Amino acid sequence: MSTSTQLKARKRENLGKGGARAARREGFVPAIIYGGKDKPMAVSVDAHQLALLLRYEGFMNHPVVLDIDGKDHRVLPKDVQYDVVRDFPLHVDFLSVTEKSRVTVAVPLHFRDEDKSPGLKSGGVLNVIHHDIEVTCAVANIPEFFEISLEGKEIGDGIHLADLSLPQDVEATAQDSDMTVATIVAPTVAVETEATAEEGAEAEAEDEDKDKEKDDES
Amino acid sequence: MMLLPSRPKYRKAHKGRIRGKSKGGYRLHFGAYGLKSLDAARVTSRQIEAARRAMTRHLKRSGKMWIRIFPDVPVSQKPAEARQGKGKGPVEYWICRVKPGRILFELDGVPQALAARAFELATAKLPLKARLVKRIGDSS
Repeated sequence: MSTSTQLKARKRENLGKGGARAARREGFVPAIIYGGKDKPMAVSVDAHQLALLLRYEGFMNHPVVLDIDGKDHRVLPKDVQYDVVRDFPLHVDFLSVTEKSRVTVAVPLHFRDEDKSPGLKSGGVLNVIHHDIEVTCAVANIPEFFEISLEGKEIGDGIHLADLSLPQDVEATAQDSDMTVATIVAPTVAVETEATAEEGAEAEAEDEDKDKEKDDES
Repeated sequence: MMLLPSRPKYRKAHKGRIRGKSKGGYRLHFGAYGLKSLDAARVTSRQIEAARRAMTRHLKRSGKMWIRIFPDVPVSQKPAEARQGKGKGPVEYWICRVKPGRILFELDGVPQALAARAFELATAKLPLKARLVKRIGDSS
């Protein structure tokens, strides 16, 4: 079950990119709160506090209590936009929630018993296809993470959604219980086949022949 | 083996310019660690292959690697001592236009220190500055 974190925020009067940039210059990150019966509210949150929270993988599935000018607002982070190059947060979306509201969140997956997997011991690599699982549940019951045991898994074995035991009141949004979450693969490094290169060379030669024919005709 | 398109739609391309930041491919998708470009550059298929080899050799075939860029732009050159005119020269090599923010390679199944060194060796083979990025919550 997730616990909520406190985050300082203030109302943002100046909207648009001018206001957002001004907030960033003052050490805040522009954000928006939406959902519920209230109108969406533009706010800005403390950049340093936010950066500390973003270091941990559970940020997106932990309710946050925003202290906006002395008044508490219970919200759930829905989206964080980052700078493409330097990866600092540019904007955050918060969904206004109550304890009972049902939300769809991505819960991270943790893999354990790696030392009990013969496949991994013999040099195999755990190829994680889904790093998190999207579930629907009440805000009060959002799981911190899901754990999957790799005990007895050989190279070539897959771990499926059905292998995951979900708590009561928590439903996976994916309908397909056969969905592969991870596989154990041989430690191969991506190598382009010779055929591809040859095909490319052949295709190029063919094109050139065609062009020559066209030139002769003209 | 060097990367090149198997069935190009057009034989030759304009030189083009690399402007702005990456509009896609700037987040980790497969592995726990990635090499993110900080510059705009034309990366040739030879450079990609050299970087891949440098990483593979350092990792000693452990872990799993993904190449997130593909050289799909042909570059033509006129032969040496050729007079001007007589059309555009033949295609000599293939490049990938990389914008700042683009993830070039991803790695998984290796410790961070090993991945960092492998990326350092790979960056030495590339015509750009790059840095390591890792998945949020990875504490190794």
